[in-house]
Amino acid sequence: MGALARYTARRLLGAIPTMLVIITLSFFLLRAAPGGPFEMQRALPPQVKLNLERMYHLNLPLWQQYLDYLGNILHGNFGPSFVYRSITVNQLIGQGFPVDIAIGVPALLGALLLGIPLGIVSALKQNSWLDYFPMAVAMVGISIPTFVLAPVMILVLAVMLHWLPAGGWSAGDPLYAILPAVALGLPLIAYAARVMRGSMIEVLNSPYIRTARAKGLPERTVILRHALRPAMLPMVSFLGPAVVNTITGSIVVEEIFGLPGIGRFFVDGAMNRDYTLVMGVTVLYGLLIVLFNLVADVLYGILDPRVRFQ
Amino acid sequence: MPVLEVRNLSVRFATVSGGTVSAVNDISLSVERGEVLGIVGESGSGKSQTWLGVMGLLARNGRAEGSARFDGRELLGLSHGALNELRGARMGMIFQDPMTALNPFLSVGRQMTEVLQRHRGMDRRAAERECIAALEMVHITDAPRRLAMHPHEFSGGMRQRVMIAMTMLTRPDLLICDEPTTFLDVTVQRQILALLDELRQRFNTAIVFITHDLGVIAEIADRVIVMYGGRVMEQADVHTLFADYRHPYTEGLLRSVPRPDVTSHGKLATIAGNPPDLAHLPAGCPFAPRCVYREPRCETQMPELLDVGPAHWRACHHVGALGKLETAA
Ligand SMILES: Nc1ncnc2c1ncn2[C@@H]1O[C@H](COP(=O)(O)OP(=O)(O)OP(=O)(O)O)[C@@H](O)[C@H]1O
Ligand code: SF4
Ligand SMILES: [Mg+2]
Repeated sequence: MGALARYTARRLLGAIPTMLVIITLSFFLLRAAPGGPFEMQRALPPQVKLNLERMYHLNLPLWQQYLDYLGNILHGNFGPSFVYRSITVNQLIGQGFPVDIAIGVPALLGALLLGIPLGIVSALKQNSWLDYFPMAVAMVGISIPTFVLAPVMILVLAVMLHWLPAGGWSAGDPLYAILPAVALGLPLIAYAARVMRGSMIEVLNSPYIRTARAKGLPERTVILRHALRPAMLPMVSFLGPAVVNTITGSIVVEEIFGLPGIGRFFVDGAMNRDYTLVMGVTVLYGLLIVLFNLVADVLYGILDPRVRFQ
Repeated sequence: MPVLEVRNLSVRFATVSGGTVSAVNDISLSVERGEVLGIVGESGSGKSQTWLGVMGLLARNGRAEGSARFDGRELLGLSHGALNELRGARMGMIFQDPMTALNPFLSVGRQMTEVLQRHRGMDRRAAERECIAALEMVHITDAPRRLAMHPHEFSGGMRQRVMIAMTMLTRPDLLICDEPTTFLDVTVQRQILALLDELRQRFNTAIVFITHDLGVIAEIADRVIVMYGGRVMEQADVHTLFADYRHPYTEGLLRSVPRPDVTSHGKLATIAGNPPDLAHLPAGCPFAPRCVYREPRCETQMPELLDVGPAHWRACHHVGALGKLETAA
């Protein structure tokens, strides 16, 4: 395990340049976009605008703003929001992120806990209704976009049946999280099931499974001991893209259900050129993606004895 | 009683387009205790599918029909549970590529001990002791440490030794070897052949040795079956087959083996033409399109497997002498 710890440390160090590139690119791209945080429909008096820009250091040369920003981030400080004046970006993220956790984590867990067994059953019962039915549902789940699926769910489960709230958020009340989590999770479950089915079928056709059967092992042992672990590898690789999917999906889902998550801030911030807010959310998203890719790589190495951590 | 008796075995695969691939067609043969039966033929001639069919290891779209009796017991149609009592215990199979035939995710020890746990009801520790002895039996040194290793930490030849040791743990009556030396270089190949022969003598295990290498056949086999288009073309003891073959296809195979005593100007004769399309087999002899001795009836009438000498059979209509290929070369 010493090697694993060293590998993890090295990968974390390696993530620093990646994050730096993400930060630098988004910083300058954002500034290069036309408009600014204080250019509203009704123009501010020049003196007010100047004061505001001074307050937020927007009058300094760009490179200096950049270095200041980097310094602040190192201290975990994303700076003040330009639009929600009196609130810092840290506070906004602190309010919004728990909402995303509350819908994103169940969606991801559901994808793994339901998608994997569904995929395995489909693979084992290949070409029976236990295969066709879940896979047809999965096909539908993948191809119907969230902005169609979610309103339909709202219409049926909230408006018509009154089982669940149609939208909005009430911290601590899980009822509000159900529909958004399902809307976010369904395509992920479907995707996971398809990946799992494909990899299980492939593994079951491999020569070492034939060897296991030639040894007279019961089918249960063949699957649990010989096939499951290799079949899980593509699921591990699926983890990284799944997190990205959850993030992009959450932006849409938050919009549809009117949730106060950070995806909302991201969109509003981009509209209003709220530089610090957009940067803060970008850095957070970047960190999540880098982190889960690292987790995936480590898991991969633990599952596959041929991978060496060095 | 032969250890294995195959009667009218056919193996067919359903294709996605709704057709049928007839990989093995109405084959009959038997394997005697302690002998080495060589199976030769070009790629696609049905060598592997015959034995996968016997072992109940066909792909999902495959079906075996006919009869295969192991020690008097019918294998085809046997329940999974009953078949698993025999597979790995009294009959074993080893494959071409030992890298992919061993599970890369499990230690060699795990893969070996599970055989004894399954068939001998041993606990893990006792099984491990047996496995160490088995590895030593196939001349693997430092066996206790090797048990903890994974297949990728072994060389190709060593992996095949592990496969052999694993399959021989239960001292099977029948060991099917499907081109076990094809991926190995010549010296390692010789060592593996010597090892198989040693084990056969020690445990009186019957060995079926599948190969397309006639050189290997000459070295190891007692009897030989030549296959083409999923059928037996010729069957004889190894000396007769090389010295007095009676089938045009056997002749073709022998001509395409490089021989040090014949200077062919570095060129290797191969049989002209392609193997038959198993989804649309001709009514007559499957070899007819490529055969230099072809007669009109060859294309309409399937030649029967008839004896042409003591323990020597062939399926061919041709009556005169062979040797055309020799003079043509
Ligand atoms: N699952 C399958 N579906 C359809 N056809 C198959 C299937 N498995 C094997 N076949 C066909 O059966 C035929 C005989 O295959 P077999 O594996 O017995 O050949 P072989 O004599 O062992 O050749 P090789 O020397 O290449 O191993 C081949 O033409 C192959 O394409
Ligand atoms: S039966 Fe006819 S075609 Fe077939 S091998 Fe004999 S001579 Fe050739
Ligand atoms: Mg083969």
